[in-house]
Amino acid sequence: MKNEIKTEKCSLPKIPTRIAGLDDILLGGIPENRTTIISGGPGCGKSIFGIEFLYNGAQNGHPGIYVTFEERADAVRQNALTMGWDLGELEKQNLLFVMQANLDPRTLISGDFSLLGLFSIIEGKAKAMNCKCIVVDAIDILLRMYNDFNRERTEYYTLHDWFSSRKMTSIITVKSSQDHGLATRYEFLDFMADCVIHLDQRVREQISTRRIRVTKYRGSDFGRNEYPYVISNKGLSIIPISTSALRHRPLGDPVSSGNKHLDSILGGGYRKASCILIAGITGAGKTTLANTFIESACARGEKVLFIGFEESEEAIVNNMLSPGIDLRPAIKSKRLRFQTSLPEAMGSEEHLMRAFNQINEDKPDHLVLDAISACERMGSRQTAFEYLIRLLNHCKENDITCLLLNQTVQSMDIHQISGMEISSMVDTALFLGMVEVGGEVNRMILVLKSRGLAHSNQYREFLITDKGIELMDVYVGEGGVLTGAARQEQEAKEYAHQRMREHRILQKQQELNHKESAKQAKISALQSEIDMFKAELDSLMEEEKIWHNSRDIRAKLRGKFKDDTLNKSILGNI
Amino acid sequence: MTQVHDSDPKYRLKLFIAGNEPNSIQAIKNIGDILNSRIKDRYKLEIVDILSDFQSAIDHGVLVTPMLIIVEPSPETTIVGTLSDAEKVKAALRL
Repeated sequence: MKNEIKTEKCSLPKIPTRIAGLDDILLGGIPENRTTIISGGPGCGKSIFGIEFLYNGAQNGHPGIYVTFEERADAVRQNALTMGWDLGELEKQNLLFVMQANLDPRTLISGDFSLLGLFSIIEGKAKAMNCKCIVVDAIDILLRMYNDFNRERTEYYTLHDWFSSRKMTSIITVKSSQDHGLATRYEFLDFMADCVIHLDQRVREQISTRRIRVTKYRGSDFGRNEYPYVISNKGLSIIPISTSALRHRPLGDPVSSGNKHLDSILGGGYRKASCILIAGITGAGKTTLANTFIESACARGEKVLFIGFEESEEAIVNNMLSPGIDLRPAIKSKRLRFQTSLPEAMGSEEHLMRAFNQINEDKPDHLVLDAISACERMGSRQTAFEYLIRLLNHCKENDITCLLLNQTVQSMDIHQISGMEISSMVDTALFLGMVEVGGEVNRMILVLKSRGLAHSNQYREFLITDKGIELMDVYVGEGGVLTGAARQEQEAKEYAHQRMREHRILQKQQELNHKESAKQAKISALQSEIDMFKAELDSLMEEEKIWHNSRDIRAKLRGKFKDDTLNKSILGNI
Repeated sequence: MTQVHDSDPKYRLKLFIAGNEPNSIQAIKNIGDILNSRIKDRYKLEIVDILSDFQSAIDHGVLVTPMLIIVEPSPETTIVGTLSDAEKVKAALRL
């Protein structure tokens, strides 16, 4: 936003118009005791501008005079009533005077004349009412009587001087047209006046839009852009984009998305007052995901506004019954409000005003927009962008969570997801896609971005069941992420492998046990052999001893001790 | 300022002027000349100065001056300007 409107105080005294948004552009209001020109083609709201200015002033105790050359005073009062402005009541309180200044068209002209009559009436009335604000609507009708352009021009200057000299704050409406002859004809007015405001109604792509632009403001700065405005049932509303750009608040606490599993992937849920973008191709489950959130939010007692450009309220409510989402209690308790319309039905400003009015009336906690891809049908891409930026700004200022749905054309085109160049405004981005594996299409969800929260960056498979949305645990095995039957198949395969491995381990263990027992058996066999040999040896040794003993006895008997040493050593060994 | 020339006038006129601005003085002179030359003593001419009586201006929708309203003969006819075109004024008075 390059043309940031400064909010510094201005030394030039100004009178606030109290027209929504206009005083921001004019940095306070129209110049006091000076002339402001409102120019514009037919039907762009010049008269409403003037009446609204006087009405707002009168409401605040500043009397005003409205001089109409085109309409009858009764018609003016009646038109004002449609906006809810009771001019008749103010006239009774002497705060307003609607002066019908129609000159009978049959009036003859003979010789020169001047506007002193008009001045006299205004001056007399102004004095009587102590009034400083005058609106002169379509004075060209009167001046045309001169049938002389130069004279007409002189009278404009006279009028201007007259107002200036009497220190009256005046608004003069002037017709302008695309027709070049007329445009140059009244060009001098732009030089004459102290403040010039152009109203413009144009038709672009068959949709009418209105723009306001301040072209001149002597002695004051002003917002120099063209600003969209609407004539709503509450008067003129101007929507300056740049005034509100920097008043955003920090993101709020996480709020549940309505699905526990999704919350954990998002790192806790959506953030309050954040902007969430759900992008995906048609049928990927965007609306279901959004309505899951709506249902849970409304169940918590929060208010939601649903702005729909795709389906009617009835269609959405009915469609959501199949995945088990019942919006009817939320609608009944007035927590959920729908505002559905075709994007082509009106200009983007009117769409915006409708949304703003609804927001101001309901004060919702969350807003769902279905879908931003449809906004382009309000006119051009630029129109859609302006609409979205303004709507998001308004929501951020009012702490409203924005859930935007965006329909992409291709399944996995990441570039399309951001949509409408609003990606910088988006805090959380979810992408819903479809993948085709093994002859079937499965839904996938990916958290592309979740500002301020630690989130999972993995694809998940998600199913729309008759009990709402179900997110499957992510499969992270060999061969990447798998979904649907392929995932199940892969999981089964994995399971079989696992079983097989386990079985083999068991087998080996048993084998080992066998070997162990075999070893034990062998050990005991050998031991018994050893024991046997030992026993045999023992018996042999015994025999040997007995044999020696008997020999000793025999030797004794024979009296022979020659081999004594040898015998001793043999005995020691045994 | 009211000039009555007849107790039962056939012609009743109202001339709205703005003080002593040249156009108004001119108009008073012109209408006087026309009336006096053709219907002397048969008309009633009321001259209203809107600078001192703005309520009359509001009531009669006098936005420009001078302005002559021919109340009778009916239908009511309005002529604005200095009334310099005597033929036009006479035609309006059906003289």
